[in-house]
Amino acid sequence: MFSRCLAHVLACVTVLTGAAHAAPRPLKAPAGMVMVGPGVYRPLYPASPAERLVSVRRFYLDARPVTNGEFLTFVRAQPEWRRDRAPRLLADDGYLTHWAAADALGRDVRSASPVTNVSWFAAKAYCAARSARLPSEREWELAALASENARDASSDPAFVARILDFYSRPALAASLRDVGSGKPNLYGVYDLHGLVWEWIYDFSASLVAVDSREKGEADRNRFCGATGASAQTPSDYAAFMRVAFRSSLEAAYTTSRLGFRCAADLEETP
Amino acid sequence: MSKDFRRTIGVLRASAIALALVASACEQKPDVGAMQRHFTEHPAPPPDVTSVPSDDRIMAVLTSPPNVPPPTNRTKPARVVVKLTVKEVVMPMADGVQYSYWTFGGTVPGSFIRVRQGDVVEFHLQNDATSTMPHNIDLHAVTGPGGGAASSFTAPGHASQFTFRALNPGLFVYHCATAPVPMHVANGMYGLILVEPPGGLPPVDREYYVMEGDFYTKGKYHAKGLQAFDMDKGIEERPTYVVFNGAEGSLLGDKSLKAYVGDSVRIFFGVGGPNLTSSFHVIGEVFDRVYMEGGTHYQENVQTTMVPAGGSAILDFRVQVPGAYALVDHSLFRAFNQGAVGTLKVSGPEDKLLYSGKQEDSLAEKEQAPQAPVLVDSAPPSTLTRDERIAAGKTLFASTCSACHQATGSGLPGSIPPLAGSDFLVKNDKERVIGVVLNGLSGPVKVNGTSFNSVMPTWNHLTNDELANVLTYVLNSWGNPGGEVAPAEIAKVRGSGAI
Amino acid sequence: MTRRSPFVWSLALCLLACRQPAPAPPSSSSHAVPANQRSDVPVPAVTEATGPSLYDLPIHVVDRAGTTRPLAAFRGAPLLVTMFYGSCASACPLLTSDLKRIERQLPTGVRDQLRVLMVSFDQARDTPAVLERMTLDRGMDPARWTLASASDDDARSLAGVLGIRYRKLDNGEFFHSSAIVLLDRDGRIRARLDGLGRDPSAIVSFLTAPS
Repeated sequence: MFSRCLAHVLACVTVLTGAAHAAPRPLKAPAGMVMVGPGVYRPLYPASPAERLVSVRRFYLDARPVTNGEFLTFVRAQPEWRRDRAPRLLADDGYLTHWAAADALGRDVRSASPVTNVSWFAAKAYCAARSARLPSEREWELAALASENARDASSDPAFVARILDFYSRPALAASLRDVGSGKPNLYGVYDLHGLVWEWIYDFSASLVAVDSREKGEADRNRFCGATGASAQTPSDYAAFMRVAFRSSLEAAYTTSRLGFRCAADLEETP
Repeated sequence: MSKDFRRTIGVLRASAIALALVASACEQKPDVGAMQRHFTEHPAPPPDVTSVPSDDRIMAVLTSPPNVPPPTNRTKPARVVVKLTVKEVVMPMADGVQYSYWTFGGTVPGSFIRVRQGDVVEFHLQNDATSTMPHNIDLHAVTGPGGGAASSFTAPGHASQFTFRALNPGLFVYHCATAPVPMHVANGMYGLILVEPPGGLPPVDREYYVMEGDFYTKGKYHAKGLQAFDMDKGIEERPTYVVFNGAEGSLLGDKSLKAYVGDSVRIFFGVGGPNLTSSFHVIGEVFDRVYMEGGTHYQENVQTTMVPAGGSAILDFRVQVPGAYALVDHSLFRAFNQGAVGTLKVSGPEDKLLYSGKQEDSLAEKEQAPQAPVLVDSAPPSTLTRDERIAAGKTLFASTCSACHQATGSGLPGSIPPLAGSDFLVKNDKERVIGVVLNGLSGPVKVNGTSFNSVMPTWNHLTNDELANVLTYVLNSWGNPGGEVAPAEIAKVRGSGAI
Repeated sequence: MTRRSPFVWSLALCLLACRQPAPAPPSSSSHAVPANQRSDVPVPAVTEATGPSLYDLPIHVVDRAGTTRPLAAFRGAPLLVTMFYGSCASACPLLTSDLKRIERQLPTGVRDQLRVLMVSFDQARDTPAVLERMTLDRGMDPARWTLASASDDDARSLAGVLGIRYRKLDNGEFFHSSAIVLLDRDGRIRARLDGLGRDPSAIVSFLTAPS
């Protein structure tokens, strides 16, 4: 018990000293990105007792989800990602089907609304073209913890209720609103909640909620390594739903409410 | 190829030929009764798993509640294909109340599935492209890990398929088991699958499909508009609505279940939950047979049957007397204050002797509801025309008042005073009538020359508008004198505390 | 047990089919039907031949000789693919024994055609030397079995198309799902076993079906 506590303390100290080291060095964020972190993130399903708190290094994150217009520019530059050319292995039949044509949005699709119906492979290729990458789960979740005025709003009932409302709201197939039209969170990031689901790099690390009732022993023959991981706060249903959603995905999948944004490393020297 | 392998192929080929011969023999002589007798006289031989034809597929007939697919009428197992689509849809939960339901097939409960014991069920679960959430299905009829949940976990716009063998006969609940499971169930993701025993269930004249579920909304009971799910109420097990077939009034008025005098009626009843156990009762009826917990054995002559969340019961009874029979959860606040009321309307010739013999069951309605706290209606009164009030009042009457006073306003002889052609409405002034509805009434009262000594609960949790509508409807129905009640008049009586 | 002719067996079974419309509960189902004919265990569906080829996936693996090979280099023979990490003490040895069990059910001629590819998502620790030692220690046929590792990015991509999920823990272990996926000679998924110790009949029947 003592050693576990000690580990927590050390983890926190590491984060703080990391921040102290990096602070004096001003960095210019890539276009469209803001700096997030460092911070401590409490995962819904800690993979091991030592990981009830995980530290996340500073990183850059797109302030807004990638839009239809931006993705169209990418598809025109890399036509192998047109919906009529991308292999089905990398993007399923739903890929960009809401667009009027393989290289045009059409009148019904707003240029400034978030792009959806994109696969993980397509999202990854888009970010790579910008010399960026998809955010990791930890990074995304750290950024998404912040409300307009707190870095960790997970205990703010109003904030949690707002997220939950989005997930339980009916999916309106009609056009999604433009990105960045709400208020940014404390880091300056818009739309992490309330607009679309977002791809993360390690979506396939979400493996608990396939049947969320299976705990510990029940599924040992499907999973190797640590088992018995269970949610720390069963009432954190918003996080539950994200894990469930990610668990349902495969890399070629597209859905009408699933978009993405990119992230980038800070070029930090230790 | 190895010798063993050749032998296996040989077995398969010979089996296929012999099977074809025997199968045709079976079809020529479908004497199920004889087979059944034979079956009971001798201990069961091991199951013949090769009797399932691998190519002939039957599409399962699915129905939306309260309808039930016809019996399979099959004498042997088959390969049955079930195609079910998950849809997230906004539908009314009560008059003026909307809710974003998650459904199997677009209804709550989901489509009724009917197969036969031994069937190989090829299950296709599609998640509609407009869905926000991933979903899956756990069928309690499945023998296998998760009841199919892991094999059917499906992202929006995608589909999954898995196959199971219906080993056990019975009436089984199915539901979504995606995290957070209670929320998916609370949003309406449940339904029933019937696995018929060989030979089927005893034939009846009418079969209906009813499920009870508890719902948790941000707003209180009857708060108007699109209501969001309330996680806290769910965790604390404080439902806002407890209803049959997903919405208040889904089995009332024009949507009541129907039967004729002399009919044998079967209700496939299930409880989706997520939290509550039902004390299911049909006022004025006794269940002749209850297949308890949806299993093989039945109890006879049952008044109220308890059905757990995620459980079911098959209820068989014969209707002998015409009239309206209320389906209730006999945990009565759910029936009177949260919506758990439906109606079975029986038409046909009367038999006065039989009717009086059945009356005692309606005593259920005498149970007194404690006084609810008075809620002062702060919403601005609406400006409806008299006709609009009558129309709105009719809906409210059907969902709220008709369980006791009956849709025809006839009341119930001996216990519930009539509203049709009621001299009470003529003799008393408006304030007194409003007072009765707001504050309830107990003790003796004489209506049309007959004395009643029952208890009417208070209805002060309804808004001034709602009470004005329902009273205007009553005043203008069934030969009553007409007129109109305005919300302001309700407010005045509410404020004065007059009776 | 004395051997009876196949026809006697099948006739007996079919007579039962006529006389007994209801199979008994599973507890009493122990009788002489060959395991791969047992349809009371849901048989995983064999995927139709129309799916995309995994050889469109532009990834590379590093084998026990240290050679970097594109995944598409495995084109041309039926392939069992799975993902693992070498230092896993529990599930991964079971995965190997599942693969061997599938092989044992195959006629020699079919087995000789089959290739097995195990891709590690732990490239840092599963060096060519480690993979070499594993191949030898676990008695894998080096002519047909390839143990390899992939970069983090390539492993995520492969897992993404195989429907395999894994999470790297801070202590260097991995938490992962186990699946054995059968690709045809063109790289299309034809059958899969999710989990360990599952009935391999879908894989065996595809491989042994006359082509």
